[in-house]
Amino acid sequence: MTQEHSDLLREIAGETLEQLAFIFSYPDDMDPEAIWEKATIGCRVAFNGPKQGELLLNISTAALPELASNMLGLDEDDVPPEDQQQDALREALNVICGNLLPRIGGVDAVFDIQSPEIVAAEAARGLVKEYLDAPQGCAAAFLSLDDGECQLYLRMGNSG
Amino acid sequence: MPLNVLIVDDSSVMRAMIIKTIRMSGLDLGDIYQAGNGQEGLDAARGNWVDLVVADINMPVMNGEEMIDQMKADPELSDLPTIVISTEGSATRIERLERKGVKFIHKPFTPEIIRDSIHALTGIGPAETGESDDAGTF
Repeated sequence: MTQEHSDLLREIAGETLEQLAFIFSYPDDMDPEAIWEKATIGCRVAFNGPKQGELLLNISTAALPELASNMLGLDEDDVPPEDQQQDALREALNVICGNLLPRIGGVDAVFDIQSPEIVAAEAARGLVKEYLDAPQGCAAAFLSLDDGECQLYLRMGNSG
Repeated sequence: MPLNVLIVDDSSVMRAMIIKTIRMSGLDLGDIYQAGNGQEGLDAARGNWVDLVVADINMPVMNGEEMIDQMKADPELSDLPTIVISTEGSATRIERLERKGVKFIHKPFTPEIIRDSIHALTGIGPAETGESDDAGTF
């Protein structure tokens, strides 16, 4: 994994949040542990193809109502139920992953993207350690949002 | 004539976004049916009068491409205009879908792309009233 992958992850995550949910994000040099001081939820999606791996997104739960509300086009005061907030998070990660992989593997590469899964905070924190300890390393992008923070980690290796 | 649309996507949020976007496009809409996977989509297409199918690809139970293949094999559904809205980025897979006669739209999408794709597939444009120039991407 290279710095180039981290930069790409940051760029695509930022663009997706903006285009999909009108959420503006800013690159952040945050302490990676700081996100866990507030309520956070994770979401991960696995993929395989020319390369296989997993993309993990951890986000402050305070940011979820705006994410879902904007995706659904609701009024500012309308707070979508928790299941819709989580569905919005899964869909956002799905779009990030779908836009990321062709940039890494090329437009002719065929990837299969699994259904994104919600991961509780403690398990997500464990996954981050697992990703960081992986022999191939991982790419990471940290974004600051109006209502919290967002971290993305990409773990990837060759298939087979 | 109002357009009856079937939306097939495993994300309820994405289905809602697509419905909202189609409404914003100014098309004269009739009934809107929703399904959470390809099998439910096939059942809905067979059980209702549908003029247009909008489907995702990656779904549990039956994916969108399999659903499209089964529609093509069914004389009652083989000519049903179909739009795929997906995160799919593989040119190989997109070309394969387009060879099956479907229109492909990449997520995130704009209301204009949806409107133009529906017009290209069905010949139906925005209604006289309610046409929207509202921009934005979903």
